[in-house]
Amino acid sequence: MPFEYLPILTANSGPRGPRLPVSPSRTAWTPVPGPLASLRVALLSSSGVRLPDQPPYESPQDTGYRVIPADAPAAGLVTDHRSTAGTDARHDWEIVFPRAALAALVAEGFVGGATPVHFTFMGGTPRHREVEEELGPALAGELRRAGADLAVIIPY
Amino acid sequence: MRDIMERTPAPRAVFIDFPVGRTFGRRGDPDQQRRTLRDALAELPHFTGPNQIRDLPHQWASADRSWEQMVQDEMTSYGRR
Repeated sequence: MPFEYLPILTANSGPRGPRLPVSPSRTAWTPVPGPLASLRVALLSSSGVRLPDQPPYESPQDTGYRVIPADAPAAGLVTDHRSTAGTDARHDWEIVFPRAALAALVAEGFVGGATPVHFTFMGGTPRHREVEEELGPALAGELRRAGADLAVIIPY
Repeated sequence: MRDIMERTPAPRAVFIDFPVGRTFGRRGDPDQQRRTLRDALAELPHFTGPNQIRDLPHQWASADRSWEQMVQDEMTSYGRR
């Protein structure tokens, strides 16, 4: 049976009350435009990773995003995410932001390509309206500009 | 994470029962990371509509579920901040 996270979130909520998952007002569905081997893939990671010269995420409730070049050295990436769940990622960002893994799949022809940039944002924000009405559309525009056929959203 | 995924429908969702914060596997294991991403993407043609979750069979450590206590400890530590 898969490990359950909601009971832990509820137990740890304290006086703020439990953090409750929120469903989107509608679930988008777009047909896949072709076989995987023809698709250009983008990564969206909620790890809050950024380049050191990019503005820090202001808080866990920051609904901004950062643009990360596909070839930016992983060793130079930093995060403002304060979660203690998953400190391994700080030693190897690939486990929540698999740019090198994606590049390898491109090289072997499993997917058609990777976008020249990928994107990160802060996970766990309670600002659901801003996520749906601002962050989501902004990232959609970025994905179009990057030529993405498929976006992989990765939780952290 | 599957319990959260069930309450937050996505166009297409793939679940792997790895500890939170380690979605694509262990640090320093690029083969596992590539294999996990590959298997997740391979599910794409099997979705027939939105709000579906497809489960990957990968296990973090075979029948050893001791990682669950590690995750609980990590999350409890974060929640106390």
